[in-house]
Amino acid sequence: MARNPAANYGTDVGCILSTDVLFSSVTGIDVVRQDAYHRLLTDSVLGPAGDDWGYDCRRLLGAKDSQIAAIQPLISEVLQRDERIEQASVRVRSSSTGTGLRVVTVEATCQTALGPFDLVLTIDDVTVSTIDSQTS
Amino acid sequence: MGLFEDSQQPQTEAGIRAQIIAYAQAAGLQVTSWLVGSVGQQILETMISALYGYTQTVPTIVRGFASLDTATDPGDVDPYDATNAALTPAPGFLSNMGENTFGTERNQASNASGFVTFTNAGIVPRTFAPYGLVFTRSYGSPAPTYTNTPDPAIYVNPGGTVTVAPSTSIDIPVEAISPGSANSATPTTLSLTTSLLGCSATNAAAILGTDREGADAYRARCRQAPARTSLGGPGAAIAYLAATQYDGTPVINGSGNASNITRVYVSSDSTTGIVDAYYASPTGPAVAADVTAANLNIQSYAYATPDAITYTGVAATATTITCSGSVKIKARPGLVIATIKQAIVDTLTAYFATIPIGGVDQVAGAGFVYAADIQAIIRTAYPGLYDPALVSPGASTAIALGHVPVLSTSTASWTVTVV
Repeated sequence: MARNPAANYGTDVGCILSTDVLFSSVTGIDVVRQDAYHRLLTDSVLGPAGDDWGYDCRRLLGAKDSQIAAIQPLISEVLQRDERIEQASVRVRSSSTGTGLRVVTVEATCQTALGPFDLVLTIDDVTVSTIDSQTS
Repeated sequence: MGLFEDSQQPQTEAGIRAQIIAYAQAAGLQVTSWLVGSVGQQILETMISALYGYTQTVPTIVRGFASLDTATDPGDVDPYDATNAALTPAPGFLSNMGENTFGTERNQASNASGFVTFTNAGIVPRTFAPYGLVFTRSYGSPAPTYTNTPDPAIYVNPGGTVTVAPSTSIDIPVEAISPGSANSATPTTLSLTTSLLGCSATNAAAILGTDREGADAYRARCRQAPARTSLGGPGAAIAYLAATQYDGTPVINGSGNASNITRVYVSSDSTTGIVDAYYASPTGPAVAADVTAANLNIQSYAYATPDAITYTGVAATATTITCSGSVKIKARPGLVIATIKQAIVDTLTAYFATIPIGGVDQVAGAGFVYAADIQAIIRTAYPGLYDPALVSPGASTAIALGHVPVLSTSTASWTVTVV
């Protein structure tokens, strides 16, 4: 199977949670990782073919543990809607914060032609944060 | 198209996208290789959406002030804006133009109102206040609900209540909670929902409500408006004043509802001094309360009938036309037969509400409802319908002077063949 050079994964404005003041760009596998992150926080995007583009994991807040486990294949499929991601293994778990609140953690390991990257989202009742996101 | 046509026709989102992409490409940006959902592409789409929103404003305003035919209110069908029909009905450009240019208000949907007889068959007196009782209609799902409305002649107790002694009855005014003709009730179909042991209620007469006046009917009434100031009592003045007071507000009938007369036939010039008028609502002959109110307005309030004229205004006579048959449609995902049948019924209902008293192609007030017209209308009921075949009517129907066509059909009357 042909391996695409990093340059073919495109260049985009760097924007995980917000852009920096210089509108810095990202390239290669970072573009894929950034899009994967947005895909797990957005149901639909603007423009043609934007409906059902992703899956907003924030809706998992308050879900039963059995429902959370059952959602893993769906999230894997959502990530693989990006044709640059060849495979995505996903683990979703719910845990207690010890203060009576529960958080949902989505851990994904995605395979691309350039190698794997990990994506971890922690979703509590008010915020979403990326606690660990790295390319391997 | 010319500048005026362009200013009425809104730009499409796809057209704006193509323009912006063309500009970006002219600037040397590789905008077409962005993936759906990427940050850069979403910035582009945000600009497109914002521009699309802005570009709708000017055509909407131009259409709203250009003419009666292009102006619409929220909730009306707008050939330039498919989203308008889904909006909550409310006054907008059309009502504004009708009121300010033609001095004519658009009739809004009214809450069905009438009277129920409240009977206390218990052993203790019952005291209640306006809005203290709830009534429910015996048919429909969900069945509409009604409540008792204030009347100072009835609620005479200190504190505005009324007391009904055991083994007595009282007639009290009621009104539907929600507006529209769908909440009308036929006689003896209302019952008391509020739990009061030994008490019951029902309506001896119909409880009637009306829908908002159709846009085309309102436009036609606006065009008749100048005739009310004409001398000599022209037919258009009588047609206008049948449902509209001289000041442009709706005629209110004895039940307290706005008149539902939307169609009027006035006999043409005569040498006898006799003028006959016939009244009809969107669904058929006008109800008696509307006929009385129309005659009172025309003859006594607006003085639209000159001296030496013998004027008679009556409800049109119903000529029922039963419609049934079949249509075909090519198979495609998402087709629901029940939806198509309902669309046919709704389209025919809307069409029959527009047929003049006496039908079309009239000679001396008598005309026809053509079977070919009904077939053509059915074809427009749902995208892709073709080959409509009528079982009934088998031929065109003659409509006599003073008669109004009344539709008789239901979803069970139609066969939809998916090809």
